[in-house]
Amino acid sequence: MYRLKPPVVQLMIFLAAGLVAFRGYLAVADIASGDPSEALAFPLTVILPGLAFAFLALRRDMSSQEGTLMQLGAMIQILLILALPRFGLHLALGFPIVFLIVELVETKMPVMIKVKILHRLLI
Amino acid sequence: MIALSLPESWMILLRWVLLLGPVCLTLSMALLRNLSARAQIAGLFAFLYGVAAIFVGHSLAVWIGWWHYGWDALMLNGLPADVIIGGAILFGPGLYFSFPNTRPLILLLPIIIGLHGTIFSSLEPLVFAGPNWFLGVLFVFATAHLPAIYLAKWTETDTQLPFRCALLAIMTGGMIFVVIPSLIMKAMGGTWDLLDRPTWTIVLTTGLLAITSLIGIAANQSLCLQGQGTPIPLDPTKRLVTTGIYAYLSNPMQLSAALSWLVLGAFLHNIWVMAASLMAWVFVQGMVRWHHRNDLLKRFPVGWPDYKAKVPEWFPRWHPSLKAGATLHLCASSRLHRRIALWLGSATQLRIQWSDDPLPHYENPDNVRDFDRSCAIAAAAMHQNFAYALVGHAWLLLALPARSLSGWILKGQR
Repeated sequence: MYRLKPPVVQLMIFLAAGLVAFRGYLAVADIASGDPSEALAFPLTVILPGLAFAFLALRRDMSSQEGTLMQLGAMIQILLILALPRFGLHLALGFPIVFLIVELVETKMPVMIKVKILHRLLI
Repeated sequence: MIALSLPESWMILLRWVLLLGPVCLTLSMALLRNLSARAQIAGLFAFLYGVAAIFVGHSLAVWIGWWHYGWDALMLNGLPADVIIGGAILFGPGLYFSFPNTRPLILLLPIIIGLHGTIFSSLEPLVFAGPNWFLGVLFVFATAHLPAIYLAKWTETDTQLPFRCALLAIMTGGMIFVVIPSLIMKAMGGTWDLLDRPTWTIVLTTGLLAITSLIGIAANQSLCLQGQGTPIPLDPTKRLVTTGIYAYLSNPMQLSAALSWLVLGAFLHNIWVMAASLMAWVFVQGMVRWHHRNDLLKRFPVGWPDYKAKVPEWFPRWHPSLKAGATLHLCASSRLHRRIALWLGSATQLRIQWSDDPLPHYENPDNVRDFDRSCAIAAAAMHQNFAYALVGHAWLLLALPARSLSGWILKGQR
């Protein structure tokens, strides 16, 4: 069984929580200035990605190394979606690229480099 | 009819509730019911079908004028994306997980009459009801919500495989032809100016899309008939399918999607929709190969590598790669059958067996299902070349459901 190292997950949860809070602040500020658009978009563009992130962060013991890398890649992509709302749709449409990168890491990357990266990220 | 007049702040709250309410309902039901993996997959399928069907149904409703939505936030084709997703969750996994043993029609009727029937026209500025809006409500329930819950029910109980495959094909078609191009055009620019094009381009595009779709639907049909499963790896086939379209091509569904986006993008003059075909390639390299290694190779350790070595991913073979020889039984006294035998003389791995039976019969040891009558000729034609394989699949797509339908009618009359 494979899993992400706890400090990696903790750092990403910290970043995700910060981004959700910041997007919440922006939504409230926009409502105060009379524009409800950000508040209307908040559940779909922040809460739902946040829930998807939480689901991934809580997953333990993947059956393959690739699965764990996909988990990590998807979590990073969701962080980017939360951090860059203007490009959220572009990033969501580009999700297959995450899996391509994982495939390239798994099949094309020199073993020495791959082992070093995986040693830092996975248990 | 209840005439409500709610302040705008309540309407913002309502829009939150329309997405987060179904999410909370589904999550709490999933936790309370301690769902099996199969039930979770059933819920996911219902959601995905709902997203595609609700999006298409509501787009049609807005285009006809049954209703239109207010506000500008998260609009896609004039539809609020969050309300569509919330609807797909509620009328999919939400209701199914809450009432798993209730018949879908009994479940949905009170909602159509009680909720939509009474307050739909009072939800401005969220939604503005137009003339005949109730007809639109009935249409969306019949084409989107009701099939979504049936799909969940049939998937969890692993019954009605042909209907499940048909609904999943509709879902995939909705995603490929409507939802994903709409998302791409929202992100990168472009519009659905379908009727502003010259008639000849509309006819040409329709013909080309029929062919590209046929490749994908043929794959769906093969997996259903011979694989005894669905095309979605979460509800996989029980057998490795190497016949039919799969004797020519190992990724027919991805090729179908990629070609469809090329054709649709060219028709819409939208380079970004065409570029989605590149994303189909990326998807195959990243996700599909992972699935091949971690699922197909483990379940079929002998058959899969052998098949993969002979059958290409993207560019179909002209002649099929078939492991076992099939037999077509024809009637020796029929002139038509003799002509068919002559035509099929050069077909790959096909043996003609003459008999006294006037009805043609086709059997292949690599298949679980044999074919007879015109379907036997169609199945045998798939041994000729790629073009005839598509024609054969097209015939099976028409003939098999028609035969089932006539069987039900005759059974009902008795």
